[in-house]
Amino acid sequence: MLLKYYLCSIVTLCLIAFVSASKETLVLLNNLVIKETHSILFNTLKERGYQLTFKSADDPSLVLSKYGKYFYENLIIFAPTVQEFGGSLSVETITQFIDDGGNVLFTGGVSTGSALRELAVECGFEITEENSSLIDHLNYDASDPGKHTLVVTSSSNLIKSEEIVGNISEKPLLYEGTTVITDPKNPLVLPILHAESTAYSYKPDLPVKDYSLGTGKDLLLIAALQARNNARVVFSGSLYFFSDVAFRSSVQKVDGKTYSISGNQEVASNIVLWTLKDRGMIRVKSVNHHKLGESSPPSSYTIMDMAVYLVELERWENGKWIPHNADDVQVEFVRIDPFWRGNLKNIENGKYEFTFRIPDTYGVYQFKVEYNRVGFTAIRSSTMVSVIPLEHTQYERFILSAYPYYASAFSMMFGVFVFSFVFLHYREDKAKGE
Amino acid sequence: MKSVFLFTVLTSYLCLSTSISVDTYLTARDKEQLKSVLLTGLVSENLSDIFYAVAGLQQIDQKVPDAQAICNKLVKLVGKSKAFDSVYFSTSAWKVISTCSGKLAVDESVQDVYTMLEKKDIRDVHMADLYFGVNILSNFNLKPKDITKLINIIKRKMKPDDTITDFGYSIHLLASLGPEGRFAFNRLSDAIMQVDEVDRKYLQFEGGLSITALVLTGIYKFCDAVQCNTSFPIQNDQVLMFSNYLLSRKSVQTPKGAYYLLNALKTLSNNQYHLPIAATLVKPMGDLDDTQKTLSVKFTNLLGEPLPTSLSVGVESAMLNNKVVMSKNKFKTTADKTVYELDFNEPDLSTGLYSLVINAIPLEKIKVPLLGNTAIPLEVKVSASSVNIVNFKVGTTDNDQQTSPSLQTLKYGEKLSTQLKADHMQRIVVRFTIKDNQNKKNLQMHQSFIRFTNSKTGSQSVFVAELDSQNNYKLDMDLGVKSPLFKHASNVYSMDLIIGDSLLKKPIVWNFGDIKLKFLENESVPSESFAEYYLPKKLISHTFREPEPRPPHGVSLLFTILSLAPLLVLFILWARLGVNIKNFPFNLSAIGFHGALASIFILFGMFWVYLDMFMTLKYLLVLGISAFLFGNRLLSYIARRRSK
Amino acid sequence: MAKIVAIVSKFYDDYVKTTSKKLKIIDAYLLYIMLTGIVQFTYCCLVGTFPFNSFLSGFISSVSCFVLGVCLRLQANPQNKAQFSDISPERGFADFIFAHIVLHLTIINFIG
Repeated sequence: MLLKYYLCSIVTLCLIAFVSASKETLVLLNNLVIKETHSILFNTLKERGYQLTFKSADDPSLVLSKYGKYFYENLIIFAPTVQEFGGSLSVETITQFIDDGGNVLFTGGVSTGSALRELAVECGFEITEENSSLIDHLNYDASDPGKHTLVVTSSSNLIKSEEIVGNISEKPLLYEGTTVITDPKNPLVLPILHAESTAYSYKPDLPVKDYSLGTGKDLLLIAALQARNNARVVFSGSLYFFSDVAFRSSVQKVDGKTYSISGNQEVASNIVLWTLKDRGMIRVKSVNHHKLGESSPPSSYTIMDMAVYLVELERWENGKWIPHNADDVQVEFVRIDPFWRGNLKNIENGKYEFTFRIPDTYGVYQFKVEYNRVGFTAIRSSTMVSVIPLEHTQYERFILSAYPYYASAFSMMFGVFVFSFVFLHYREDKAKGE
Repeated sequence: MKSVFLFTVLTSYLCLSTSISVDTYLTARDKEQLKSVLLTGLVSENLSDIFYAVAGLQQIDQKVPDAQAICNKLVKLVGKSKAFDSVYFSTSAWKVISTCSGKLAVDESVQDVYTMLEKKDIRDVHMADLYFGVNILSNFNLKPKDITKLINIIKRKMKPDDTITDFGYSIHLLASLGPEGRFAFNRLSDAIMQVDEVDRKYLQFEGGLSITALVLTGIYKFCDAVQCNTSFPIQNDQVLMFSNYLLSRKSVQTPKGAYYLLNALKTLSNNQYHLPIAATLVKPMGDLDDTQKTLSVKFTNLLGEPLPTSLSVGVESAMLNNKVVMSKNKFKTTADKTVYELDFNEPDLSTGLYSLVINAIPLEKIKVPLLGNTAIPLEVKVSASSVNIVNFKVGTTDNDQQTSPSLQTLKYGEKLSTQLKADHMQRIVVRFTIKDNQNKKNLQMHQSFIRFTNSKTGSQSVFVAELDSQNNYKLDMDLGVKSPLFKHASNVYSMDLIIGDSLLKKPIVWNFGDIKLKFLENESVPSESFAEYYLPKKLISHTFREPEPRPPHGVSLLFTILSLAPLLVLFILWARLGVNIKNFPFNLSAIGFHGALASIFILFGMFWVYLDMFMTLKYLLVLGISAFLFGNRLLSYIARRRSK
Repeated sequence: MAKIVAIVSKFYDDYVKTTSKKLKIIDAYLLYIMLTGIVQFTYCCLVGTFPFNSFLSGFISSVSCFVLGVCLRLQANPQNKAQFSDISPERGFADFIFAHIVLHLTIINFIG
């Protein structure tokens, strides 16, 4: 019976393959100085257990996979001006890497190489024209080199997701680079950091003609894509955002307010760790279902039974899986269309339960849990069960409204019995007069 | 005449060429950050980190906090490794702290050094070992027994294809051994040729900060020992580019890097060959505008300390858009010995980016020549402190272009008293002119936007005001064409004018009015919006089929009785007919038959209640056969009796 | 209307006079079955066919018993002796009982 259950259930589609097993990361750089100028970020990753391999972006020995097996889980490209990748790397192989579940973090800049532009388009990001920068005449740092391109962005422009960016603090963020535009209707693309409403993106030395390349809140500075296979791709228009200088710099907005240190380190580290799947990872630990009152799954349910569905979710935190508690997980009982959709009750420690009555139509159903929340990996779990109609012995019997019929039937039988007596043993009385 | 002209052009061209200069120095904040990086090295269990931390703190004249605890830690850690570098780090750290009480147990290692220096076969003796070994000895004020022999070893080991690190160790070593190391002088220029130049501004050795600093400080020490005098192997430009590279690595995060950085900067600022200076604009890009016309430049050494002499600072050239705009003015001194000021008050001081080239000539006699004090390029920005919006008019007009638009005039800072109204068949027209502070010139600003904010949803649509031939701005927008940019949302919008420019100090965001816009309702595609994908979906509960309505209990019971009533009728009728069973034989077959029949019917009753078909059939077989047998006998008896 | 009443009363009189006691016994039995069937049918029309199988089996039981009773009456009627020359009334009764057993087994199986 249990074996049948395991054979019949289709366990979650979320990526077990790339979880916690290996943390190999390939870091591609324009030049090796970046390894030192961004050392704080790389040290943070190393402390979290990531194995970083630094290579130049046009190194002819670059290879991501061999015989179908990937050497790396994650790819970081801090080489904004690369025109063409070296070795066996190309936009196609990187896109394939993402399709196979790998995570990518890449940055652009005022001058972004064509390879990165192509890669961005594959992920749904449209980088603004070459040589255009983010400009904000109202929110630039006092140490700006003159064109108002070293922009101070308030932390309130970050996406509201603790998993991606951590707790939003007062400290503003320093940003210098280009911008990106995405389709706001695409639910898989997340606007991690958008520009202030007075900002715009243009070539600083050319006068703005007609419609500028992007303005205000529609401009994204950091955008992310969490694909349906839960691979994460994050693009930032600024390599400076992740640098030691930005992490250690004080912020002095031109309108007076000063902060002793920018918020870049926390936010950038959180974003990078989110991209590398160290944050915001949840998965299904176990799925169970049974009839109310029992404890293990039956081979099939009968219509109108009371059934209980149990699922356990866990979350990756600080190097281990812990129970994940949420209050908005839903389960569907679907046979082509959902017959039931209910809120799972969180009973304790990441365990959720839903009790309901099996519908009165039989067929093959699925328990589906689809949990998409911003910043978390998508959970898609489906378990197939069959629902059979009532066996002929399970129908209601001795129904009160059928008593007349029962009575008549037995009365018929009694009638036959009595009649047989009379019919066989009746003696015609000739003696009595008529 | 022609030659004079050519000569002027040539000299002005030469004057326009700038040389390398250093435009930043190690500020107090930088020193604090480096200090905190060094302090992290003190808590490490790594001997190298501890050494770099204490040595680095020494470079910035900071005391080592809790020195004795560090000494104790050194004593504890020194036994863990006999390698020369560990012993070097521990003994050097001990020496730097200098107030350590106790003793490091390294006598054995000292003996090992002597043994190494006396080895005949030097093939597996590395330059690093020699370096660490000799330094261990000098930490105890000991010297190698045979200096000439050591120098020979070094001479044989130094090869042109050595790594830069080994080269650095070798010249440090030779520098500590006295003038005999002079043979290696030619190697210096070979090594210098291996530098990487970046952007004509930075110079570094492959391997980064520590290696570059190691080699640099080594060259200075070597030249001190062998007296390079006038033939210092690094050229002035190269020294300045090295300085730029070192200062670009101010935010290094390791104690080793911090130590090497500070050591190198200190060496560059305290040697007998030259003194590189840093010429820094006190405010970023000068930060000048029509109210602040004083340009301040700060001259210090690389560590931010004042120079040993006062300077005469003068403008060599000043260009705006490739036109010479200023004559060679001189800077004035200020109360701060390091800062010099210049009044930027030429007539017609327009906004823009100026390229200045200045010279700083020392006024007093100094021991070493200054470097980087001539043809210093400076980028100075003169902004407009504010601008005025004049002739601001806004209004709506119909699309037919026949009626001239009725525009309301507004003064800057005011807001429209009434709400404007427009629909998709109309146009919005905004006109204005930006004038400078003296209201003389019409200005062009990089950002001149008009922003509409939907007061309900907060979504924003931005439009660019265009400049016409007289430098007046105009926005003439057809709402029908532009309605997709408003997402076809009819609502009240607030309108802002945003004026900004990199040369404008005070940008303008002016909410000048509200407008009610009406668009054609678009058949909006009800695709799943971004938010819906991530929110919980609507609950669905299955409605079950209604069970068939059943009659009330009473009706059923009534009819039950009614269906049994005909039995009564039967007995009454039979009684009326005079039914009897007088012919009952009272023999076995009669009783048996009727009994079997009765039991069959009772069996059926039990079948209804709880038996299943199989059991029933089994019993039925038995009862049926007996009923048949008894019935057969009974019926034949009756038949016989009838035919008698 | 009056004619129908007259025909019916004449029929009834003839019936009482001409039919033998034995047949009248059977007729009473048949009337009883018919009444039971009518009651069930009325009940079904009133309250609906909810346990349809029960209704069917109860009603069919009445109908079938009626039919079997009519068959027995035919065979027991001495006037029909000619048509049933090779079947004695006892044999008819045996068939009657056998059919009833099968019938009632089926009814009970179906009545639920």
